[in-house]
Amino acid sequence: MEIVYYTGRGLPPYLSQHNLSSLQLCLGHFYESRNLFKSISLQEYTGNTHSNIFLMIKDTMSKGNPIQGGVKHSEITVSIPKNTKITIQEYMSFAQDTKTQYVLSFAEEAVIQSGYKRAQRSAKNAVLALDECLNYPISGKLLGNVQGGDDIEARVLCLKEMIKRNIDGVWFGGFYADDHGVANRDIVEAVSEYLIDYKKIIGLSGPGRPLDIVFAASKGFTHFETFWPFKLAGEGKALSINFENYSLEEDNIIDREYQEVTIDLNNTDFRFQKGPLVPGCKCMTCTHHHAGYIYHLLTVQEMTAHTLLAIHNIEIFENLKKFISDLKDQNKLDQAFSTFVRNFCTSPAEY
Amino acid sequence: AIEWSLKFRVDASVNRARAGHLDLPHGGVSSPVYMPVGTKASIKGITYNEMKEMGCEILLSNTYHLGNFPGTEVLDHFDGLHSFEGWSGNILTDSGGFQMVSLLKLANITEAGVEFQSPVDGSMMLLTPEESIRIQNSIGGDIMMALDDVVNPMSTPERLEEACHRTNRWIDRCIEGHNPIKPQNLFGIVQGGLDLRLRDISLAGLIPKDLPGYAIGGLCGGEKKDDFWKIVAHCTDKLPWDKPRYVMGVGYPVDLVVCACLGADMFDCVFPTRTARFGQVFTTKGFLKLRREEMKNDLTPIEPGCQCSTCRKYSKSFLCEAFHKEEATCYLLSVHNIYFLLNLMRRLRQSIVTNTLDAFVKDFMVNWFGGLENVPKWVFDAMKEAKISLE
Ligand SMILES: [Zn+2]
Ligand SMILES: [Zn+2]
Repeated sequence: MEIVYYTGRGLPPYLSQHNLSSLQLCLGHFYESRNLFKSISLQEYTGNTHSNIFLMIKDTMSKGNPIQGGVKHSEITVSIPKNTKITIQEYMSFAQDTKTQYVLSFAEEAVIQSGYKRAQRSAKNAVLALDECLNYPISGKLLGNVQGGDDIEARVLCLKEMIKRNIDGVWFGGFYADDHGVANRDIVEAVSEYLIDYKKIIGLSGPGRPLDIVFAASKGFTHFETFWPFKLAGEGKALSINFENYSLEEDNIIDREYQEVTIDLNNTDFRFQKGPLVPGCKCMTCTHHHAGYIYHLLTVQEMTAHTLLAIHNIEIFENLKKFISDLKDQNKLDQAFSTFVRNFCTSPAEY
Repeated sequence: AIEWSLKFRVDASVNRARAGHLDLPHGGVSSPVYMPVGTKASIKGITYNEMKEMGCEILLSNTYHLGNFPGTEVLDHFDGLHSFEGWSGNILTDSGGFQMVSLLKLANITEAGVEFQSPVDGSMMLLTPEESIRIQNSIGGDIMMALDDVVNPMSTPERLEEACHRTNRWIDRCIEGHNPIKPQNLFGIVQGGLDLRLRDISLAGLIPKDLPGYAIGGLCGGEKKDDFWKIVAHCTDKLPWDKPRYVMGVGYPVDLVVCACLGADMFDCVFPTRTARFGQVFTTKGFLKLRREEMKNDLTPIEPGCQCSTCRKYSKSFLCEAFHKEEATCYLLSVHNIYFLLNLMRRLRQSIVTNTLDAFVKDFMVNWFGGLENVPKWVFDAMKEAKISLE
């Protein structure tokens, strides 16, 4: 189980001085500098020598459609830098030059809610592209980039083809963040039955809400890309979850739309609030600073507020990792989602 | 008389330059020292853990800003700024007067204090010496500054003289108004613009107060360099040897070195963080502007050998690419600039201790200006006064 934190260009938002174990980097930010990577790895170049790098084509944070006109399976136009055409061969040689540890196969990703035909085509193209990727050797691990938009049938077809290939895992891309950050649980659920005996990496891109991560983890997913801790930090919010105390829940049927408990530090209630964001939290922010101080920093628009909140939210995500691993060790992963919802979530009405 | 808690000792000296040590309520401070500025109780995305790791022992905070937000009610509730912001090192606070005069259009100074229009509700308000100290007591900084009559050095001689006398009168009101819950130390400010006679009036009024330290004010960067160093030299010459001297608002590396050689001990300036916003960084070879076109293939750090976290991790190429697109990158540049000044003062102090100040200063100036022939005359003159040979 691993969390892959969003960075885009290699600087985790608000946290450029912190070592995170796995990071997502986006091709487009480095493509103009590609000649440099004959002499330096992407890890070294971005100052992330302690982190595993996951190279992806798309930038989760980009609003709208970051990849345009990628209708052919062998060529993609990336909008950053300005509408640059990149072929599979170029992508794979970039991955090799940069010595990136994990490489998602080449694929067109912007296909959510774009219709049945487009979804089918993206799934087929992703398989064709993967086959071409396999022609180019890389030192890192190649992960099949499963496409098919929000079409379950297309996703399953794509997955079934990909797991036949000699690759190091599969990765479900193409989920975008909406305001609620809800990844498509139906797809996660539907594909999980084909993954029961798949002992390799099973990754999920997307906004990476804890709730979605726990759900996918309970369905056998192993790796999760996220920018949720940074998104919340940017809004002045802290995840308020204490993983020390919870009771295991077996009830799996949860109809209502729940949300993780967060606290909004913009709220004037915090003006005089002494003590940590979350009692018992061991993060640097909670052990050194009052909630009231963070309220103040938000009020006067000091960026340190976001840094301190990101540090805290990352801690919660690292604890989430442990929560899931512990349940897995106890063979209780199937209870993870209901346990998480019952103990740490609130319904929107109470929110 | 008030027993101030600050203890100052001079560990070593070379002519006028001193390697000092300030013993303060929140630990020791080795001087000469650059004090980074955390205006609103924070330094541009840099956590206080990082400041500690950089070896920072004292920060400056602004009374005017903290008086507005979070305000004394909140500061009192949290038992002062140290606890409120989670900084365990020392804090120096300014009086708030300078901020008012420089930030607010409608500031007017009378014998009572600084009259100003509230930025919150537009009403007329008054910052008296007593009120400045009251707020600084709430903040609880280890060093407080007396409220002075801030005056533009280009004002009329009459106005400058008035400011001088008034500042000396206000010192008594500051001391009167001092009502601390915890140990704090009050510094007086030497005024007098560029007029040595007025500086003497100010010094003569202040020194008998036996304050724990003195600041040299009224040097805002607009004056000629010759005037600047002569005023510093004049004041440090007359201020007591056994008290720390703080030159306010100075943060340009060359100025720091010159002032330290002339016997100044403490400096503050927002320059390192402000200039970082424009992609400008300090190096031993002078200013460097990060330019994408020139540096996109440069895999060396800003300053080879610099131990700051930015130089240990990032190349100029990476910083240029990131700076080009991401505003937050200025944080990485701020880290380097602050570290550069902290480290410059540490190295200068070490050269005093080892009696190698001449070589240090020469090396610094030659590198900064790109050759001895490029070192400006005012630096030579100031160093002559400091009995430091650049030859
Ligand atoms: Zn925390
Ligand atoms: Zn540096």
